[in-house]
Amino acid sequence: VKQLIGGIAVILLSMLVWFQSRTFPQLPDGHPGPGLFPGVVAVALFLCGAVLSASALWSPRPDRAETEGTPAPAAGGARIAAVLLALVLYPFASVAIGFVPTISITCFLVALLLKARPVPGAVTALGGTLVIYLLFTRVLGVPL
Amino acid sequence: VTELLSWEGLLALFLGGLYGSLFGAIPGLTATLAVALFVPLAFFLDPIIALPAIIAISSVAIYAGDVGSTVARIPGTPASAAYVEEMYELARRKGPIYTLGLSAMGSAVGGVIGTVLLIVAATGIASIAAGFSSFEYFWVAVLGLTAGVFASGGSAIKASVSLLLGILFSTVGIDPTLGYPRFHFGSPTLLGGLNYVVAMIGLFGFSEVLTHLYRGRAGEPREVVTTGTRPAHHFYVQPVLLILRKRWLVFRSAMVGLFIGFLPGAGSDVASWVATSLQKMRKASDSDARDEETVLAGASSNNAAVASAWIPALSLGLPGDTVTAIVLSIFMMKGITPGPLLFQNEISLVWALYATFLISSLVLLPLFGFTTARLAAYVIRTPLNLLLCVIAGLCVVGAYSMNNNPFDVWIMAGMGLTAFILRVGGFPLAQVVLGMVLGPILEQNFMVSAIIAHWDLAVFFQRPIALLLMAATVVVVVVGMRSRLRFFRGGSTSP
Repeated sequence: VKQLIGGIAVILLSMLVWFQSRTFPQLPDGHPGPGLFPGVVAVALFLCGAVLSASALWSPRPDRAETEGTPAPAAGGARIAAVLLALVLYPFASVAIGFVPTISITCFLVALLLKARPVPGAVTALGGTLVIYLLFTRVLGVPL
Repeated sequence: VTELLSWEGLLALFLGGLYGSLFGAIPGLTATLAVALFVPLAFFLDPIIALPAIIAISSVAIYAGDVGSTVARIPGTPASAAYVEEMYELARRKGPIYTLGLSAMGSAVGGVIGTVLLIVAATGIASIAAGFSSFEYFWVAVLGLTAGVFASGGSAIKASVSLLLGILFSTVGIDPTLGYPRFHFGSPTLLGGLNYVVAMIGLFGFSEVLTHLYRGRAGEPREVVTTGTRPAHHFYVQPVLLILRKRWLVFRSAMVGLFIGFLPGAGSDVASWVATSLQKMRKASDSDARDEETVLAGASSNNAAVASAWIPALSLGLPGDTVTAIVLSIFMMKGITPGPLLFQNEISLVWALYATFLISSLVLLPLFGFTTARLAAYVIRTPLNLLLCVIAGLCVVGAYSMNNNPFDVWIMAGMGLTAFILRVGGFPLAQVVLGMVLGPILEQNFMVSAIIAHWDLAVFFQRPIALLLMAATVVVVVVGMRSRLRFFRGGSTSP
């Protein structure tokens, strides 16, 4: 089932790319222009998606565990969504409360979601952020 | 050379190596960025001190890119991404000190081979590089991509999907040949394209965090082999013995690195990918041997390429990679004109550069390599949930620091999510980076060649070197298909 879903997703993506690439102009002499390469990629993706879907439909055996991903509780999706939301808000929070507090809070959130105990999690988040900040700005001269 | 061996020269080399090791080991900080940030200082230094310091920075930074791969499956440089999975798995089975020793010693040997060729054949080889046109570059990219598909070890179709996704990502932004904006969705930031270092942080680093968040099992202890009381033996002696046993593999990979490295615009990133892909296609007796051979191939090829990238830079004034492009600008600022006359007018500088390459490979890499490996051995024992929380912060800061643009943090997060979905579906990640690195080379050289030939595509098959590269691609396909058939006959179900 996983392979079938993957194949269908690849086919859908290829169709999106194909239709978008058709909107790019051609060269003045009628030869292919900037849409050629994405168009070729779209066709190749479509073929790969079709092969994946077909092999999933015709193969009686279940998917082998080629992936590291294992069935997880629905809470896994919620944990990922929480961290992604934190990163979406990062630019705004960074302006409002500053770089070090924003990164520290993000790191602490990750630590808690990964079931770290609060005190070691907080110490690691704050300490790690300060080390990263000082390393980048003071030692290596990379502006943040 | 006497000036280079003065205390100021040796201090510059030492500090350059230290600086490069820090930059290479931190995700998001590349050898190019390290050199770029060093430029303001380099202007005030004597070229015989400044240029060797730059070589020390880039050589050690390329090696140090493997530290992140070993500790947290986050390659520090695009060159390291070619064998990140092998580094990570080998570190778990045989310890981080041995794994990084393999990388450092392989890098040192590759660097020495590259330097020897730089010394004996710089001008001769540069003339071959000068004979490469867009047709040959197109076939180099095709060869690299083809090898990448068969190198995945898993499903060739899934590897192709990953590769095509990477190529698709590389088409975001201004078309490199015709200047037309593509897939930017109205965002001015996307007009500049997707930075592959930012993408790499998301693909390897942030996706690792997301994978553990999904599983919710990061608190469990990791099984990592420790190296006991003889770290120097594990770092120096065992890898050197293996290199002696695998000398042809190391020599072959270094030659691939040399060949790709001296092509202007290709550099160590492409060299590492081609060498490791070709190596992965070969039969190995077991998983330890396969991973060790892949790490050796990647490490020796990318440091050989670091040296050979200087061949066209010194002989023709053409940069082999971004680091040599920066160095050429320093040459110009100092009133030094690269090209054949450099070997007559600035022979002391040329010999100082040669000596620096040898010192970097024989002294700096083993020295800083051992130091960073000891550090990595401590970091790797940190509880995974605490390590991942710092990695999450490092991913955000690393992505942001590329352009000081918060949009890059979103790109990194998006790439991380994409990589997480790919992982769940069993699609390999390394091929995405390969597609992003080789995609622009493939497209630009195809379009330029086609326009030059008035769309007579037969010209792609008429030039001798292009034909040779095409034949090599066919050989890769045949060998790749044969190895797949062997898998089938052996009962494996992962074609």
